[in-house]
Amino acid sequence: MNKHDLYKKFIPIACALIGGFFVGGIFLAICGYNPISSYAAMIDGIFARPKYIAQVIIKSTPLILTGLSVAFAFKCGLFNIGAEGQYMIGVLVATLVGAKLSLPPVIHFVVSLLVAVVAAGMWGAIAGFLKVKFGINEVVTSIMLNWIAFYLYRYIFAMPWLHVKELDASLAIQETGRSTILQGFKNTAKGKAIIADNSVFSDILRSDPNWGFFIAILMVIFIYYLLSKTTKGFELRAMGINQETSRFVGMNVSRNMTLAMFIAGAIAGLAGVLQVTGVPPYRMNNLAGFEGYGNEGIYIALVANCSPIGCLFSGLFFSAIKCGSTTMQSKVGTPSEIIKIITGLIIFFIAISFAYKLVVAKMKQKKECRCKDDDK
Amino acid sequence: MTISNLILLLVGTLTYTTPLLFAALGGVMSELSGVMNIGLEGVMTFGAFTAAAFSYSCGNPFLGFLAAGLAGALLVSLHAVASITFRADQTISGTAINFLGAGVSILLTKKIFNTSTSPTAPKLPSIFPVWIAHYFEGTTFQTLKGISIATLLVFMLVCLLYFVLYKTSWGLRILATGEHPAAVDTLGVSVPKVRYLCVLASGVLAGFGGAFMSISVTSSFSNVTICGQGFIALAAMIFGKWTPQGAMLSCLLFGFAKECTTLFEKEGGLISSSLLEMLPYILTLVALILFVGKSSMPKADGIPYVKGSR
Amino acid sequence: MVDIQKNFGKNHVLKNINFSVGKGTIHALLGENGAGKSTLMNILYGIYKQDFGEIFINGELVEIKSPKVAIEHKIGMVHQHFMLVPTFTVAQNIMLGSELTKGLGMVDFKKANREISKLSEEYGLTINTKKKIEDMAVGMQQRVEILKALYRGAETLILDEPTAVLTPQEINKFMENMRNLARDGKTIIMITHKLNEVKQMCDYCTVIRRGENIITVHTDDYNEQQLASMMVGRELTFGVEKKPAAPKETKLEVQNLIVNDDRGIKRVNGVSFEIRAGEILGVAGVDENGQQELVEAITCLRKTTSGSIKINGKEIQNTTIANVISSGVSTIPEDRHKSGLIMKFSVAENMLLKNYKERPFSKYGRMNKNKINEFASDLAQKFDVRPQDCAELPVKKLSGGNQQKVIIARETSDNPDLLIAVQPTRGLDVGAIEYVHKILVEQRDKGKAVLLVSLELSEIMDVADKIAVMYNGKIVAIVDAAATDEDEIGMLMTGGSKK
Repeated sequence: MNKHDLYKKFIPIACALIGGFFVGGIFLAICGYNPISSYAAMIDGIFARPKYIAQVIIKSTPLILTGLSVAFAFKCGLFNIGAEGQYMIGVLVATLVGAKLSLPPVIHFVVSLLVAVVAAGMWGAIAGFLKVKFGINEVVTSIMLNWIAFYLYRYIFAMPWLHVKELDASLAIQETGRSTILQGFKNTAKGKAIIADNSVFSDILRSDPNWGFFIAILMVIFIYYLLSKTTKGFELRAMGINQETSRFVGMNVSRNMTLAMFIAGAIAGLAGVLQVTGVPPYRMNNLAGFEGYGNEGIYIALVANCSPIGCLFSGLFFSAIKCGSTTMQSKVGTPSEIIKIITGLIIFFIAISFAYKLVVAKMKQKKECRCKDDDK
Repeated sequence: MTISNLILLLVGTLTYTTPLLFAALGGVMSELSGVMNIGLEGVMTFGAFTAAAFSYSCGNPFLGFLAAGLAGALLVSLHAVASITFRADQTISGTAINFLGAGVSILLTKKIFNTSTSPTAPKLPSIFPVWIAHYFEGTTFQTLKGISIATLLVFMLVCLLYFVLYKTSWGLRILATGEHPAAVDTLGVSVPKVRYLCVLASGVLAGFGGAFMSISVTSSFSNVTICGQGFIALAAMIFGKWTPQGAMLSCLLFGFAKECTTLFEKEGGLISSSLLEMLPYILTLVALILFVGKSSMPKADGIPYVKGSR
Repeated sequence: MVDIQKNFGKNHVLKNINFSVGKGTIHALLGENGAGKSTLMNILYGIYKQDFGEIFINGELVEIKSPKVAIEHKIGMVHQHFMLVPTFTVAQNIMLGSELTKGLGMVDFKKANREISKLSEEYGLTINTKKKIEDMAVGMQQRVEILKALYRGAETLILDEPTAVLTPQEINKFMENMRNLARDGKTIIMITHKLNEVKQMCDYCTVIRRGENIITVHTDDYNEQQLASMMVGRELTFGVEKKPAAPKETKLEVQNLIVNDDRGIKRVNGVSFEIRAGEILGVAGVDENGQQELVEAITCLRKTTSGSIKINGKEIQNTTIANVISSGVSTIPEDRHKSGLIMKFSVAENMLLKNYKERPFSKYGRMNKNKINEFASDLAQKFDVRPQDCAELPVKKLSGGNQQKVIIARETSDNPDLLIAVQPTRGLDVGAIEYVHKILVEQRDKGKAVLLVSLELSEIMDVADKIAVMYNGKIVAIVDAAATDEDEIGMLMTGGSKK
């Protein structure tokens, strides 16, 4: 892909982003909030302190991954609306392994990660299998599976051997199973001394960093490599564009479809794992509804144009405006729901951006015809 | 099973079914003309908000209900323009509607009422006028008054839509537009016009569904009023093979299953309730597997129509 | 139609067409693919609007903004790909948009059925109005299309390639019907590229070449050869040059094959035949007589009910597509966009859709882009794919003929024992058709077995060594191409018997 194509893909998305914020600003103004001060407060909430930047990065991890999950599925021709359920399975299984088993450090984390990711992958593969075997639309099955995962989560959450009544949360994942960075260290004498000396360091450590972001980056690179450089990626991309031809040339589309849903599920599950092992209180909480990361993955993928590397930036971007919006709400009073509206507008503009090309083409044609008449 | 339990079951089922059915009928209308609409959730949310807001401000639930329909049409018109005129990807456009609907509703609630839950609004009346309900007071049948008048409306709509779609000329054109828009176009019927009407209708219906949640099931709007009903309505539509009568049966099935679990919850314990709540969804999966027939999806569903294409 | 111009973007499809038709005549619009015939008629029917130029009907200037207006001007059009809703009945399709209603907008089906039946009797186009389109034969479907136009009082009838899907016998009936309509005073415009029909049926003929009309003639004054030269602008060679076949061992053996379709209906009903190395077997027949299911069974796209299919003696039915390919079968599919190519992929990627897993194109799962592009460039040169440096270009940017060459390059370069070609020249211009036929004969001379399935009888007659005729799921005859003629095959195609 040469530079020209890259720009072609960037411009509609950039316009959509600008358009979303612009129209959102108008909406704010109509409702009596000052868009300029709101957006300024938002930017403040992102960049003002190292702590904020750290927060943006930490909070971007689940978004990057669910976005990657949906983007990957899209590239394979599937709509993974089940990322929400796969995420929950990831959280559930990671908590079970992390809280109930005792293993040495690092190994404990790796084991719970692997088991949970595979479990979430299997959950995704169910939808893939049903599509392959029975031809059932994966959107319908995924919606059902989301709800089944939700109630399964609640069922196990309420189990006496996992539930902690006073906190209305599950048992905590043991320290050996967490993905935190230097958590033990910062409470030692040596650690406290270093923190007192260095404000940037202390800021970052105080926001409870974890390895999640780096693991997410690894995942992005892995998926990028898988899709664009390997034979399996070739098959998956082919299936995503044209199933019939893929079948015709002998590719095992059935197996690839289930595999694709497995991978997508695993990635979404990974998001859940990293959340529960990396973010305090390291416990399952009482879910009133869907946590939403899975559904957010959809727009993250769209803004990233379904490219794996794009998901990295998309995830960071939306994490930034999310973090910024809480500051905006506390400082200026603008409700953070405006982010949802802006997001919706951005998606809407992306939707019609492809059509924008048609409008331009039509205008070009009219110009040409007028010239032709002049020649006469 | 005592009679009063049966009646409770009936009333509860109808209560769960009604909003689902409104939205599902909306989905059917839209998709039969060839426009996929996964934004039902967002439209329901916006309708729920509008209904609660108007019902509270005007003291009149009927006004709220109607306003919700209009609000639904308004929101869905964005999707219509994007999908029909701009030939955008209908999945993406539908997703945008979901976010916009939810975001605008909650933001406006916070702005207008300064809380995240709208104040209590007058509800839609029961199907039985007050003097009849009074007559049954104290008997086992008294719970029947819990059936809302909107429930009557939605079942009437099923009949109306069935009639329009399969017996009238407009219905013929709608069905044709979803199957083979080029055929319709070459016979001089405007494909965009048919699709716009159907999508707007779906917005009105989904708006009504949302309204039912906020001024009948509950009496206010908050960010948990609409929680997944829009998507379940989609599943009901697919399950019902894109027909109004199919949607009705699917929604009844869902409502029934949901109500069963609620009743069991009361009888049983908290632990088993989660397992039971799974039941409707597992049932749907099983049913989808067992009753797998050739997809009856409208052939041109989700495909933007380009003039002159064969 | 005077001075008509139409552009699609940079594509000047029609430049300065002047076209006039007399009332009560049958007028042919002759030209190659892409000449602009369909576009011109689409303008007449209001689907497109001309960029410049005027249309007169009966001497009056008219503006045809949409099909609705065209219908009001009593123009009707029967498209090449039928505009019929498959799940609707005949009556529903005919009435769509001009429904007979009785109160409350309800459609009066009883009245409609009666009126349509009356109309069909009047014009000799008998039809069962209650039948669904998807359950009807193609020839019948065409009648519905014609009735659709007549129902709306069409006085001018435009037909786009009407005989593409008809058997020779159905074509005769069709010609009769058209002559009757013309006698009734209807004006008929036929878009076609079939020269013999132009001679047989049409009074006048306008030849269009590359968007400009060349000449309008009285068909009686010219013969087919002359018309063909006018159409392409050069001397056309009829027939394919080939040496006689020298077949060797059997490559494909089909025995008692029975294949059902998705609804459980027998579509291949006990078919047996064989193809030897170095020979081309052409399967002739009207569409939907089992050819599609036969090829699907051989390529394992469909399960068989009973019978066997052997390649080099090995049974391959009901295994996997990959197995069939590795057993030495390559297929040029009917629809290159749907099943032959991945349009967004590059030419190189498309050429390697089957061997991407082999060395040197990939190693341990990692693909080697350079080697892939190199290989593709070689193939592009060998097969004269234009533009020559297209290896990294998305294949959708190539013309139809070049796209077909990409598929042919892919399917022949892995040295198959059996090459299956289904409708390989559909939608291609004369030059590309020539090329494809040349390749098929070349492959046969290299010792391959070739199975050619085509709905164009002339193609089968030109290319095949042996012809198998399929009718109703059975092979009713296998004859030597040299020993038969179009009339005999035409008879066999409709269930008649050999001479």
